[in-house]
Amino acid sequence: MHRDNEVANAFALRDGSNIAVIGGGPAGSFFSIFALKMARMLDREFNITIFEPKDFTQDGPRGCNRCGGIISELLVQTLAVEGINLPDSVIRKGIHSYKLHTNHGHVYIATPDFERTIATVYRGGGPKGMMKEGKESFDNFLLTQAVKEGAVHESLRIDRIEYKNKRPVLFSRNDEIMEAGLVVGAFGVNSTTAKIFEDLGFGYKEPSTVTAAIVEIHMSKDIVLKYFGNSIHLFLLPDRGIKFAAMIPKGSYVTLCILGQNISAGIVNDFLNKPVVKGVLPKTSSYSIECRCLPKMNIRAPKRPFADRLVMCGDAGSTRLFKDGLGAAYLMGKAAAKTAVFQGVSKEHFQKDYHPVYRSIVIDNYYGKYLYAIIDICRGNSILTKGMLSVVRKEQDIFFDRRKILSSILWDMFTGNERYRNIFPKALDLRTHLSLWKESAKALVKGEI
Amino acid sequence: MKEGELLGRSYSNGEIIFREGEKGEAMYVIQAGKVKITKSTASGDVTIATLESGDIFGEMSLFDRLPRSATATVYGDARILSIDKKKLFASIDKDPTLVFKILETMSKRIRRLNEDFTALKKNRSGILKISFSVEDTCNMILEEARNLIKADNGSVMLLTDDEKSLSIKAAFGTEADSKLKLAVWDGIAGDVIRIGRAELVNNVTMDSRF
Ligand SMILES: Cc1cc2nc3c(=O)[nH]c(=O)nc-3n(C[C@H](O)[C@H](O)[C@H](O)COP(=O)(O)OP(=O)(O)OC[C@H]3O[C@@H](n4cnc5c(N)ncnc54)[C@H](O)[C@@H]3O)c2cc1C
Repeated sequence: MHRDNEVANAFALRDGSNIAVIGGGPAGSFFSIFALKMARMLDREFNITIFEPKDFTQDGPRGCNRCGGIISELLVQTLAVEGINLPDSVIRKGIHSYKLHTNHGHVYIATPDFERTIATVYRGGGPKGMMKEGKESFDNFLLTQAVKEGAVHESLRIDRIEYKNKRPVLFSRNDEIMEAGLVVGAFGVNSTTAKIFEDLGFGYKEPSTVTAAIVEIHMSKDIVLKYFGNSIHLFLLPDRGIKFAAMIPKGSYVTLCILGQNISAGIVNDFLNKPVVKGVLPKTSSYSIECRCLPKMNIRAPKRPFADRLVMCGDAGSTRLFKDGLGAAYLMGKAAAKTAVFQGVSKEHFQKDYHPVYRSIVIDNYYGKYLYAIIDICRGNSILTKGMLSVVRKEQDIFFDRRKILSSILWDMFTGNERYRNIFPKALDLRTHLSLWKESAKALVKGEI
Repeated sequence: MKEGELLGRSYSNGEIIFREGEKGEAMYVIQAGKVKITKSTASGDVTIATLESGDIFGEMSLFDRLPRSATATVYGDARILSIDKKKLFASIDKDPTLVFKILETMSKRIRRLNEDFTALKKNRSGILKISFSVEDTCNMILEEARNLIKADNGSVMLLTDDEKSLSIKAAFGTEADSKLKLAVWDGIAGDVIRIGRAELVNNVTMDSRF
């Protein structure tokens, strides 16, 4: 009872409260944008400070939050409905189709009417020398939106948090920076900041991660257009370590992302030398590799993503497995903002209003794991791969979208258009299995293996 | 960067995105360019709004499930993003606050309509007051009636000073003859003026008085 009263009285954010957001990537900016929009609706005022040492207007590593930079159709549309319209200056390319490459051929899957519903962006200024293209980065756009809503951006790295009078106090280089009514942990998985939160002792543990790879391939705009068009090129190959790889066109660059268990520089080199990959790229003299990195990727969410006056957003908490991490950052940022503004900032408030959204992503990833297991079987077996290609090719001639089941499974899996849970029933559809087995049997009989 | 490489679908000048009366399955967000929203009236199309980059349109049919209330036509070249009804409702089901922005857009439009309506009312009484000519006033009345009812022909008649005949002060259509005078007891109009009550005749050709 005592705690209930305390929660109601002490953990509602008062006007003028300080909110400290650690990390100005998408999760931190989304939290700030929505918290400020919602506060204004209630005639409330909070002081939100976003701590972010990176400068997203800079090219090269100084401004880069290493990522494939695909904004899913669902996120593009949801943001537009929210009134956060991605300006042309942020978009490197509008995407209307995926081209799926295997060792046994390729197949296209496209949006209805070839509407370009997916966007590709750079998270910072892009590879070195890219600034002259006069574009803006996605992270800078969001951070600027947050500042326009009223947030303050401090170019500082927070390196310590202590509790004073039951309130978190933030430090940078031993200077006390501020006492906060709420601290939002939006620091991703690519820094050592998780340790600060682990040390606070409320049970938070850094999310489990795998190492992925990003390679920026430079070529002329015309060559990008000729070889890649408005399509993302996806590779499903029978390699043990690689789940899938994607080549993502962006102006005069193509970003190659390789996702899998633990990708190393050697795996990247092997991948680039595969015949199927060489077949997609133009001749070697037409492109150059500008930079490579091996960022970490969240694959399992921590159990305790909140405490009194503390909440995690984006990759520091839960994210969608192998896709649409930016969409998950939006969902978690907004859920945390709604809870803080409309309810309060105690662990009970977060448990009741924020945790259901967090958990829904965690549960969705279980469905995702199952679906990837099916895809792993298909890509590992040449008969099934051929069967899959054949079914998808046949589906392209069908008029009704409802009957293009395998195409829509693959589309939704890789574009981030659907939650895994919504794809799952399609994967159990008997018709899909029958046509897959039929086409695979044909491939077997033809002896094309 | 070329238009064809950016987000959305490219439309060229005059292309119709949806027509008044059609079923609405999507709403739209303008990425670049302009879209004219027009409503057809008996006297021609009336432009209700010209929308620009960032504006949302086509949301009404999604929520009231009625046919499109107006036609959306591209003005100049434009790029437009469509948002599928089913997906939007699934997202709203998970996060009802998603409608905040749509509500804000709708309230802004209602406010603007209220202002336009008030201005129109004020203007109309002003116009009537300063309109000394009987013909102008009759023409205005006829024009208003025409906006409300789709008709091929129409006229406004006034009783002459000697109260023996009706003279046509404003008219439109193939059978319009503004010089014509009717004896006060002639036809449907004669009946209306004699009895002093309005009459609604759905098909005049079936009426023996026509
Ligand atoms: C190889 C790869 C490809 C990917 N491709 C895609 C894709 O195509 N589409 C997609 O939707 N998602 C993709 N993702 C996932 C996506 O990158 C993440 O989900 C997303 O970046 C999460 O955003 P965030 O704001 O939580 O974290 P981050 O983007 O990592 O941002 C965290 C920010 O916190 C700052 N920070 C850290 N510590 C501190 C501190 N102590 N003080 C102050 N600031 C601090 C950092 O500087 C950083 O800017 C990909 C991920 C990987 C690894």
